[in-house]
Amino acid sequence: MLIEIDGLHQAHDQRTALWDISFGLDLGEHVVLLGCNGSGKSTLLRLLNGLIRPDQGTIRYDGTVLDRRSLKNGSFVRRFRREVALLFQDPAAMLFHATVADEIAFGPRQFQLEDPLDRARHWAVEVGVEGLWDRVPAELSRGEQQRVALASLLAIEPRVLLLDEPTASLDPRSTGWLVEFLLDHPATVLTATHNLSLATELGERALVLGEDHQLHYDGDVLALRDDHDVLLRANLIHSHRHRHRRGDVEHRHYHTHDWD
Amino acid sequence: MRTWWPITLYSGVVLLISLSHDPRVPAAVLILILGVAGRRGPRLLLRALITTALFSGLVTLGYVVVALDQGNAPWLWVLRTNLRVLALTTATLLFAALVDPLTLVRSSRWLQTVVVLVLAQITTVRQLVGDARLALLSRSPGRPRLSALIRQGGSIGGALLLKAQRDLTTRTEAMTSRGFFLDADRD
Repeated sequence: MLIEIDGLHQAHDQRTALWDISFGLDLGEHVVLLGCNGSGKSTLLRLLNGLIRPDQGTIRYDGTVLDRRSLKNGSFVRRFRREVALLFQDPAAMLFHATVADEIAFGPRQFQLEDPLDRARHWAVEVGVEGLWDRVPAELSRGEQQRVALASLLAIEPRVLLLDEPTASLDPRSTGWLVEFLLDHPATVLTATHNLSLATELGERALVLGEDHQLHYDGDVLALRDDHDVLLRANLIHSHRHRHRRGDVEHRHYHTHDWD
Repeated sequence: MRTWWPITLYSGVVLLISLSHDPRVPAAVLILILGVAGRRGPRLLLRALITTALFSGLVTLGYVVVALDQGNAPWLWVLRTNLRVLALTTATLLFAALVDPLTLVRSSRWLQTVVVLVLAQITTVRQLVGDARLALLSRSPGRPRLSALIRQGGSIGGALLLKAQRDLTTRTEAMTSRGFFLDADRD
């Protein structure tokens, strides 16, 4: 296992954010983390990125426990930051340079990779932001910022990509591009989303966090689509009355607005 | 090169106004600034007046009361100080309009990062205040009452503080995640 999580508990301001979470991620595995708003998806990604420490439980990356000691070990932190990248839900938080070029080249420069500007240009082209090369990232649209933030992470070629609602700011064409891009990406990818229709496209395995902040499902993503009990419990589907335009027929069925 | 003439002009104006005790100097400088500003001059002057009115008014009032009580004539001081403040504020507003701060710190990537972070905060605050103003307009049957404006002002202040705190945490986490705080040659 590349990443192992065991008995994770986390609280914010005395409110439970995660309760007894255990799972593992293999090298190259693509997993979707599903859950409704406030279920703890972002907190889990921050924990996996070593940005916050768990109240209880352990997280291991490549055999090393992420704790105060390891996260103060310079050589480990350097390797960890190079190998594990997190795309934040709000891409603007990740952008702090005066040009897109410098933004994408920041990682390669920071980790002293060869030809940072060439790398940056390569990923700008891959992600489709080469036309924004000299623009100020903070002044771009949210969708453009999302792409620039993604290119900035990809430029260091991480082993693990943690993506927090990566399609939230993207238009349909960009969403299609991201799905295709991730399809053959060799990294371990954990994508947090509440978009059920995309779940089957973004991974083979699904993890479902419930409103009680516990892990309700860990298994095949296709099997999850038919498991209405889990989906209802996790507030990922709902049912409501439908009134047909012609006649007075009403009926009720399970519903999700983004389910294809 | 286009950046340097506003910097030189601004530095000269600040020095001239600060070092001179003759009220004719800030008055002449103010006329010069308005001349340079051209058509945007009256708007800049109005903004400078609105920005400084409350503070300058209170300070002037306090000084006049104390000076008269002590039997001194305050008028030269009042004229000089208010002209100084007005000329400096107008010059600063003109400078901000003419110069792109990112261009100004182009030589240092580290300084650019600082400026970008500050600009991002300003943009967020401006957007939140603008949205709040429009939201109040949208929820009011007519022109919002003063009491509603004051209540909303307080609420926006609180919201801004909370948002600033959350944004700062997220931004610090994002920068940590991207290796910003690792030892490295940043320039």
